[in-house]
Amino acid sequence: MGSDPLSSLFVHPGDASESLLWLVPVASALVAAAICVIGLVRGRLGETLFVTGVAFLPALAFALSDVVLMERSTQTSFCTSCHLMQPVHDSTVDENDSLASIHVTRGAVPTATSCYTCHSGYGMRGTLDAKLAGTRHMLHTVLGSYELPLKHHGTYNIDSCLSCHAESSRFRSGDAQAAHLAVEESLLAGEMTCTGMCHPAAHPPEALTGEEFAR
Amino acid sequence: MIRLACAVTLVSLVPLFAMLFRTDASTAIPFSFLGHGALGLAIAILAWHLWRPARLSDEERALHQRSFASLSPRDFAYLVALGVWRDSGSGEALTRAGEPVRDVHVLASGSVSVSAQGQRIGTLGPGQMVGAASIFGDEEAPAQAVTEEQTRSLSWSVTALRAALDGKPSLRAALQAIVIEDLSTKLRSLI
Repeated sequence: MGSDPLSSLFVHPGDASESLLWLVPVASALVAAAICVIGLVRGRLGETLFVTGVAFLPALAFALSDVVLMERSTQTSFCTSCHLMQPVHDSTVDENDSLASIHVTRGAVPTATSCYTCHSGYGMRGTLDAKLAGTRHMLHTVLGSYELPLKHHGTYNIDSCLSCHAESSRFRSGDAQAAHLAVEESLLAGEMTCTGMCHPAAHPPEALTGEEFAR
Repeated sequence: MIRLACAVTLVSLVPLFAMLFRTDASTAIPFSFLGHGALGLAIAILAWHLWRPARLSDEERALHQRSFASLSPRDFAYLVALGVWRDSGSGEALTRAGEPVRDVHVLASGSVSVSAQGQRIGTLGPGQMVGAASIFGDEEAPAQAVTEEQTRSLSWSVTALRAALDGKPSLRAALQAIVIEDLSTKLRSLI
């Protein structure tokens, strides 16, 4: 994925609505701030204005900011804002034999949300689990309590693979079907996972050391 | 308490702007926690201010039951906080005919003689108001009210009371009804 696209055809279309969504919480917060300044200066406020300025508008602003933050945290750029993730991301956009690179360079997962696509489980629970995991990762980064090389915590959840592959004709074809049925119990029990065993490792080992990834 | 809640809310909005305008995880997420925590504290202060139990002394409780029973204890506690308890000796003028009424009084004990144009109109006792009509209308006292004995009353500055009631329309309406009832009682005693 080049840094200098040849034309707009090679640029991710993006989501214009997200770029404007932040306006609503900002507007709510500004109105709430104005009411609070009045309350601070006068030392008294009507009950309705008090509840609106201290509770309702700030709660609305925070709820909408949470939506913006949740949406923004699905972007790869959010993940790579932590320095440890930059080499991992670089390895996904590089042509190599890792499973992530195979998917990203072929456009099988959206490049703008490649991390989130593979590292969040299925449905709303998957999203919440991903956010909790991300918060833990952030804490480890801030506190410096991470270990290198980076390791996936537990077995990689195959729901991330099955959400795309489960109903594909190639996955359900004779040889592939037989091969997966042979290890079905272990896969479904979480004792084994798709990546790093039968299929290539998700990321090359040199991308997990925290050092710059050499392409 | 209002100033504190407003200050804490303002503080909570700073991390919110950081959440929205910082794109890196290591600042956006901690600011999110900080902002939510501060907002939670502000809402807790708000809830305490609105729903804290009203504490009235025995004297205040007695006055509430006698003259302000239609108000909630919380609303009456709000009024008590705005006023001051006042002890007056015998012969003290609470209002003078034709002069602006500066303070409104509710008698807790003692008695007050009311006269106009040199003629005695009546006597006011515990639970009755002096100068209450000036809260909502006339600024000049129509009659003179003088204490006949040692008198204790709960008093409010008319200006301060009007300003406080401006922000509380339901309390204003309730107090207006109480003042009307007080005036009606006085008129009935004259007939």
